[in-house]
Amino acid sequence: MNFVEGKEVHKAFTLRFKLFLLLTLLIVSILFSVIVILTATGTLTAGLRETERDMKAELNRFRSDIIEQFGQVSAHTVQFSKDLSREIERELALMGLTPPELRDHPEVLESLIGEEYERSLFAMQRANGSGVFFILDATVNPLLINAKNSRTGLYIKNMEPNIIHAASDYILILRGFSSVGRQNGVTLHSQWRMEFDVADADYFRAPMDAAKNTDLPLSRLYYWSAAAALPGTAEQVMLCSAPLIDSAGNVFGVCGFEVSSMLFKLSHMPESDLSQRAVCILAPGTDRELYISQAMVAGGYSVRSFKEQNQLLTIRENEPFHSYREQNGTLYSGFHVPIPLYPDGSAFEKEKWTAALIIPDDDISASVVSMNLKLLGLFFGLLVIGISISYFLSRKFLTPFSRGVEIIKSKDYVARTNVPEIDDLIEFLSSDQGGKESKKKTKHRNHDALPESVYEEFVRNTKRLSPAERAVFNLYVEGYTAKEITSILCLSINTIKTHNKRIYMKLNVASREELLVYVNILREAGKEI
Amino acid sequence: MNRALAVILGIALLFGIQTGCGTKGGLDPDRPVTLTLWHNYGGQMKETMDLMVDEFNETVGAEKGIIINVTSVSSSDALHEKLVMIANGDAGAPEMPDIATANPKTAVILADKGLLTDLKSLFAENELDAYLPRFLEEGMLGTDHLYIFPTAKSTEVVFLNKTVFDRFSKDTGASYDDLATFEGIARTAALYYDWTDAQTPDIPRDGKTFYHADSLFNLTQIGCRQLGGDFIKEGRPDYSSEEFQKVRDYFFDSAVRGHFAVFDGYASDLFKTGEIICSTGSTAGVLFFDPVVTYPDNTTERVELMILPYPTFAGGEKVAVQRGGGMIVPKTDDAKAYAAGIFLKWFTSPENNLRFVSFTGYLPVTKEAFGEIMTKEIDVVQDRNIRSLLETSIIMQAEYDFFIPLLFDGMDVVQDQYTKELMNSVSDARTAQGIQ
Repeated sequence: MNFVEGKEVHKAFTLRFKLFLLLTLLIVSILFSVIVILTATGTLTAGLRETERDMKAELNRFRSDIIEQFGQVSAHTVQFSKDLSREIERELALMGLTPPELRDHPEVLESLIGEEYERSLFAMQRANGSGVFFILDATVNPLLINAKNSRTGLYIKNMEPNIIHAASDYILILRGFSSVGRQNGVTLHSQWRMEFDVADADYFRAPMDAAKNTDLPLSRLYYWSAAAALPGTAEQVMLCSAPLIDSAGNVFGVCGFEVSSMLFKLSHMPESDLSQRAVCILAPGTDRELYISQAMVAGGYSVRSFKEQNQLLTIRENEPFHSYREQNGTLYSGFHVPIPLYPDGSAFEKEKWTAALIIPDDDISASVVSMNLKLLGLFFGLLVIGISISYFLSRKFLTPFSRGVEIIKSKDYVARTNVPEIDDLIEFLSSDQGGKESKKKTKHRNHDALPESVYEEFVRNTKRLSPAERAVFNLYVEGYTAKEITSILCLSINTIKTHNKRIYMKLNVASREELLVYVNILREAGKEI
Repeated sequence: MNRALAVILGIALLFGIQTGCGTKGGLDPDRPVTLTLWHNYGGQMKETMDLMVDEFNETVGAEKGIIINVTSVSSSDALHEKLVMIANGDAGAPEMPDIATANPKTAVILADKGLLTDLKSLFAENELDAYLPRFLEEGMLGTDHLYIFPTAKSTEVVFLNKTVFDRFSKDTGASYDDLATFEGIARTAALYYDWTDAQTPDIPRDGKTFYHADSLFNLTQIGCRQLGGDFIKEGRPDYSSEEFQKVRDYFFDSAVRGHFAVFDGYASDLFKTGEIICSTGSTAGVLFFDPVVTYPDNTTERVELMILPYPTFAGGEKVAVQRGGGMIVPKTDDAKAYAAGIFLKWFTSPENNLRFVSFTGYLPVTKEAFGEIMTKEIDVVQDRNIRSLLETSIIMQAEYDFFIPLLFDGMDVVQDQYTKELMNSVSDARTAQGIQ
C-alpha cells in the first residue's frame, strides 16, 4: 500500500505476478492431490508394510533353518546314543564288565573313553555341531568329596564349526582325560576340567530320568538344554542329549552335541538389508514371555544388555508389529513363531520354544521417519522446481505483452511482437491513430501543400503495384483496416503484412497513415488514383 | 520477485545440504555399517573383549553408525590358518572379516597379496605418534606401510607354579634366583626331577618334568641373540653357529633326561595337570594358567602363579622377544575402512588399552598407557597374576632389549620343521637311552 499526498493507494498486482501465483497454485494443488492419493492408497506407509513383510519372510526362513538344524542335531544325537551305547557295552563285555558295573571300576574309564574319541569326533562332524560329549554315570575317584556331582566322560569342542576344513587347531578337549588330548594331538581347552560337574546339569539328569521313568523309545528321549555356559566356561551353549542305554535297558549316561552361541550366530544372522540391529532369537517361552537369558541370539548388534540384566522379554501382540519389552523398558518390534524342538509323544513335548525376529523399536521408527523425510524432500524439491518453472513461464509468457506495450508507447507501429492478437491490437491502434494523423496532416497540407511532383510520383508508383498489391491498396483507399482486408480477400494477416511492406516500399511511404495522407490529398485534388 | 526466488532457492540449497551432508566418512548413525571382527582373545579374555565390543557398539559405535560383530573367536593359529585359506582362495574358505587380530607371519602373507589396508591412511601423523614406535615398526613388516595396528603386545616371561616350587624349594634349597638364567633352570629341573623321583622310591626314574618352552623356535632365536649371534641369517636358519649349538645342546641335554618337556603345545596344558611347574611363554598366556591343578586321580590343588623376567644364557645380554600381533584391516570400501579406524583408535585409547591389559595380560601399546598411567594404575588391577605380570613387564622394559623376529619366506614351514626335528631327535635319544 502506498500513500500519495495523504491518500491511500492500493498497489495493484502485476499481471505477471498474478500469472505466477496462478501457476504456483496449480502446482501446489497437483502435488497436494498426489499426496492425498498416496495417502489414500497407503503408499506413504508402504515402507512400514514392506518392513513387516520382510520381517515375516525372514522369520519364516529363520524358523525353517532352526527346525532343520536342530532337527538334524536331534536325529544325530539319537543315532550317536545308539552307536555309543552299543560300542561301550561291547568294549566293557571284552573286559568282562557291564555298563552298570562302571561305577565300581574307575580304572577302566580312561582307556574306555579314549577309545571313543574318533567315533565322537566323526559324529560331531556329521551332525555339524560345535561340540560333542558323552558322560558316563561314573567318576574316576568316588572317594572325593564332590564325587556325587562329578562324572567322567569326554567333551570335544570345535572352535570353528562353520569351517569345512576341520584342522586340529580348531579342536579342543573341554572335558575328559588329558591323555585323550595328548594321544590325539589335541590341546586342552583353556577352561578344561577332567570331569563334568553335573550338580545343575539338566542335560545330564533330564534324559536319564526320562529314560528311567518312562518306556518311551530313544527318539522320544532326547533333550535340549536352554542356553547356558557350562561351569567355568565363558561361552553359552545349547546341548542336545540322549540317554545311553545298554541292551538290558540300563541307563548308564548321556551323550549328545553342542550348538554354541557362535555357531548359532553364524548360522542364523538376519539379513543385513532388514536392519543392522535385527536379532534372531531362539528362546524358551510362550506367547507372552520369552526367557531371554536362556536364549540363543544371532545378530550383529549387541544384545548383552538384555541378556545379562534381564530375564524376560514381555510380548504384546500389537499391530502391525508385536512389541517385546525388556524389564528395563527397552522396546523391540518384531514377530515370533513357536518352534517344535520335540516330536509328539516326547518326554519333553511340553517344553515350549519360540523363534523371534526383533528390531529395536527406534530403528523401525527411524526407518519410517527416514522414508517420510525422503518423500518430504522429494515433494519439497518438486515444489521448488515447480515454483521456478512458474516464475520463468510467467515471465516468458508476458514478454510479448510488455513488448506490445512498449511498441504502443513508442508509436513504432511497424514493429511486431509475433503474437497475432497483440499485433492486431497494434494494427488497430495504428489505424485509429492513422485516421487522426491524416486529418491533422490534411489540415496542415491545406496550408502547406507539397510540390506537385511528389503527388505525381506517388500516382506513378501506384502503377508499379502488382495486381494483388493493388487489390490491397484499393481496399486501404476505401478505408478498410488490415483485419477487414484479410476477410475480404481471404488472405492471412501475414500475407497482408507482406503486401503492406511491398506497397510501402513501392510507394515510398513509411506507414499506412502516410499512405492515407497521400490518398486523401490526391482525392481532394480530384486526381485519379 | 527475484528476492522471493532467491529465498526459495536458498531454502532448497539448505535442505539439500542438510540431507546430502548428514554423514561423515560415509557413516550414518541411522544406517550403521557392520564390521565383522575375528579375534583370538578367547577363554578368560573373551568376556573382557565381549564387554569392550558391546561398550563400543553402545557408545561410539551408536553415535557414529558402526556395529562391531564378532564372528570368530579362535586361537591365533586357527585364525592364521583361516586367513591364509582366504588369501590362497582355498575351497571352503570363509569370508574375509573386516578386522582381524593377526601376527606378522599372517599379515605378511596377506600384505604380499595386496589384501591389506595401509592403516596409515586411517590415522593422522600425530595420532600415530602416541604409539610406541617399535610396536608400529613391527606392524610395518619392513615396508613403508602400516599393516598391523598394535592393539596389545606381549613378550615372554617365566611362569612358575609357586605353590609346588615352594614345597620343592623347602626340601632342596632351590631358589627363584636360579630361574634367572637358562643354565639355572636346567640345574633346577634336574634337581626337581630327582626330588619328585624320590617321592616314589618304589618306582625308579619316574621323576617329573620341570620346564617347557612354549616356542622352541623363539627360544633358539632369542638364545642366539642373547649370546651375540643370529639364528636366522639371510632368511635361512644358520645351524652352524656356535651360539646355535650352545642353545640347542642346552635344550637337547635336559630334554633327553626328562627334565624338560617334549610337547607340541602350550605349557598351560601341562600346568593344568601338574606335569610341569615352570615355563617360558607369552605374557598373553597368563590367563590360560589355571589356578587349579588337576591330578590324574581327579584330586585338585589350588596353586599360585609366579611370574619372573625372561631368563638369559650365562654371559649373554638381556634380550627378550617382542610378540603379539595387532589388528589388520583387510581391504574394503572407504566407509568400512574409516569405521575400522575409529574402532582401532577407541580400542587403543590409553584408558581402554589399559583396561584391556588389566584383564588380559597383554602389554599396552601407547606411550601414555605404558608410562605413567600403567605405573599408577597397576595397584588397582584386580587379577593378582596380571598385576604380577605387569610389574615384571615394567622391569623388563627398563632392563631388556626387545627383539622383533625377522620375517622371511617360508618361515612357517621352517619353524615347524625345526621344532619337529628337535623334538624327534630328543625322542629318538630318549628311546635309545631307554628313558620314558
